[in-house]
Amino acid sequence: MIGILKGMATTMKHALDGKTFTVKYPETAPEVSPRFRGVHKFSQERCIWCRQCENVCPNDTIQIVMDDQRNGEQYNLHIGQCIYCRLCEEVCPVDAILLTQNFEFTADTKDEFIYNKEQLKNVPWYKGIDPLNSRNPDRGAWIGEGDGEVDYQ
Amino acid sequence: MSTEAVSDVPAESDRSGILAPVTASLIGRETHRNAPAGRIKPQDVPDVLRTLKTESGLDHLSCVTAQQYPDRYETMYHLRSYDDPTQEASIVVPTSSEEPRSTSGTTAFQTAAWHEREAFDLVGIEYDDHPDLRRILLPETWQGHPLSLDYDQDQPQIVPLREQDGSAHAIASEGREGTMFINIGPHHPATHGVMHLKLTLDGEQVAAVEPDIGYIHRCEEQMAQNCTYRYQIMPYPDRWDWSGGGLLNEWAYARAAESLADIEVPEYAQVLRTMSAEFSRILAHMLAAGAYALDVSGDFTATFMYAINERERVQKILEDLTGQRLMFNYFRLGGVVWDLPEPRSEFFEQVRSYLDGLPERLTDIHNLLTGNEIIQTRTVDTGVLPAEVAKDYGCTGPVARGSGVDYDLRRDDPYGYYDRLEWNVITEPDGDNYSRLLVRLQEVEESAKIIDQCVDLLEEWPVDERTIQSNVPRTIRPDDDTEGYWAVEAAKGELGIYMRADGTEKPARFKIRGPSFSNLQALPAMTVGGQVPDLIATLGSLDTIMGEVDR
Repeated sequence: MIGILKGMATTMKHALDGKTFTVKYPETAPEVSPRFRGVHKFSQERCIWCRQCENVCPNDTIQIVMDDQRNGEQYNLHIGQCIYCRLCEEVCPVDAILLTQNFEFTADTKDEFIYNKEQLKNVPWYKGIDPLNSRNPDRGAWIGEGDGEVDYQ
Repeated sequence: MSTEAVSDVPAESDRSGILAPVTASLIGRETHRNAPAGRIKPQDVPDVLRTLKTESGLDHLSCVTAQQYPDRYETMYHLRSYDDPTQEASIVVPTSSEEPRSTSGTTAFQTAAWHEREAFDLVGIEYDDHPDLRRILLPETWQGHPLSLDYDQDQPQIVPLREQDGSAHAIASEGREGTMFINIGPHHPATHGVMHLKLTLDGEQVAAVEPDIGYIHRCEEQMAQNCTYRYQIMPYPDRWDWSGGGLLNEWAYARAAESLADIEVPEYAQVLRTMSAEFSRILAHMLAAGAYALDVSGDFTATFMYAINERERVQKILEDLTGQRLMFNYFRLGGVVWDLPEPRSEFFEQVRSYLDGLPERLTDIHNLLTGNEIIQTRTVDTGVLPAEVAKDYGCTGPVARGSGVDYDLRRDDPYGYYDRLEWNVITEPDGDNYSRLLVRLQEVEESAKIIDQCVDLLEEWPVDERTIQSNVPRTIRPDDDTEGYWAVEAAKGELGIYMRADGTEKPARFKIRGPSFSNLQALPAMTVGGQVPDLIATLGSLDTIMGEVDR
């Protein structure tokens, strides 16, 4: 009996302290860590079509089509099949593919989750967080773009 | 796997003399990276295992691996000692390609029963004298053995309903008049995933129980065999034990692959690994405790929320560190992917404030859960698992430690930074459901101690020595025919991986020893003779995650 009363006292203590742990989603957008891995964003301007991302992808989520001159034609990524391991971003030598913090994506059918390069380009940043800057601040220098702000568009 | 005649064995391979008691039965030696290994004939299996158990003290059959070579089949028994897991040996049993027939080791170790069934199911080796050689993961009507070399993946697996064996009740209640057959699961909330218990009741008593597993068999072993060592395998271990133990699972793969390919890990990365892995353990244990409260009685919804609340705090920290809340993919071969998030002082403050509040919150959970008379009535002296039985079934982790088996690979077979930190292995002597619950909650405290020391170390680490990854090439090709079995202490127990390289960038055989697989096997031993509610309470206390049972 004492144990049960102690348990009730514990719940009462927390019921009365007025603290809420959760946020009211979607009215309040939750805080997401800068390292969080969400939907990809792809930059055709940066991509050198080396196909490293396609090779490293553990479950064939990325499909690239090139013509016989090795010019890129298509870059398709199935964001519903992706396991969000971020290996594509990790191996990309020019940071052409990034994982934004954006975790909100919906579709009527699973096929609509196959994003082509235009759709991938238009994925919005989440709360304006720059993933590259927050994850690999030294990567900018590595690709020779100086120290200033980088505009990925 | 070079084979040599017994007479000209290099002296150091048998330095420990661990195989000495069975020298007469050996027909050859093999080179395994982790332990001395000897080949024996199929008919000698029970005797050799028994001799090693009694005379060399190898009382823990951690894993049985089966695989097919172009010219033969092999069954491998990975043995180690509960007292000192660094004492290990592998027994290899080659059998011919035409008729893969070996002898079962069940008379020496109960745990061999399920492991051999899995070998039969996936690879296709048959075991004489096995008490119950049936498929275990795949449906009974499956055609072919998926991990054998000549398996046709495109073969249709269409079987009419009449072919399905409906004899489960008949078998279970054979010779028991007036019993009732009941299915629990596969969609029962207390089975934590999809598991099916075939239960035979005699009145209110459990007369027989047989776990039917394999509902979420996801071919994890084969998937790993189709992935490259360097990058592609690492995201998958997170998905074996999805309760939050992801980083611990990743460490199992990291340890095995680093040992196989001789990759160094910088000290700094080891501290990061140790810290993050212990956070992962807190996540897993908190889910176990919270969900257990729900299993035992629906009145504990509030307690569940407190445990989830605790997980949320840890998940926030891990999200800042690894970028994901459950499927971390944080470890890499040779280190980790990221250093601590900048600014470091802010991160340390976050961790410190978490650790400072933890004792009070644990007291709350103890007040809500372990101090509660309802929980005590339901769990004390139910589902008792004596230490000897636990060892026979290869139980590890909190299940074994709750039975007083003092076995923790973090201390006994040290890796990472554990051996340089101050912490204790928690054991409880009683072996009942309550003990297992207590062990988990106390282990959270120990994890907090470890994290606290890691934070101290990280704070003082010199700036220019913060190497998070050693220099590992983009493609790793371990030498042909190197093989070995390595394990770490995951949230549920000993998570081991056997890997064999064939000179390519992908493993030729990748065997996962999921701790829940062995723990679950002990369920009948703990529940037969008890009542149904106790069965549910016992099942919950094993904290099985079906992802690593079915793989």
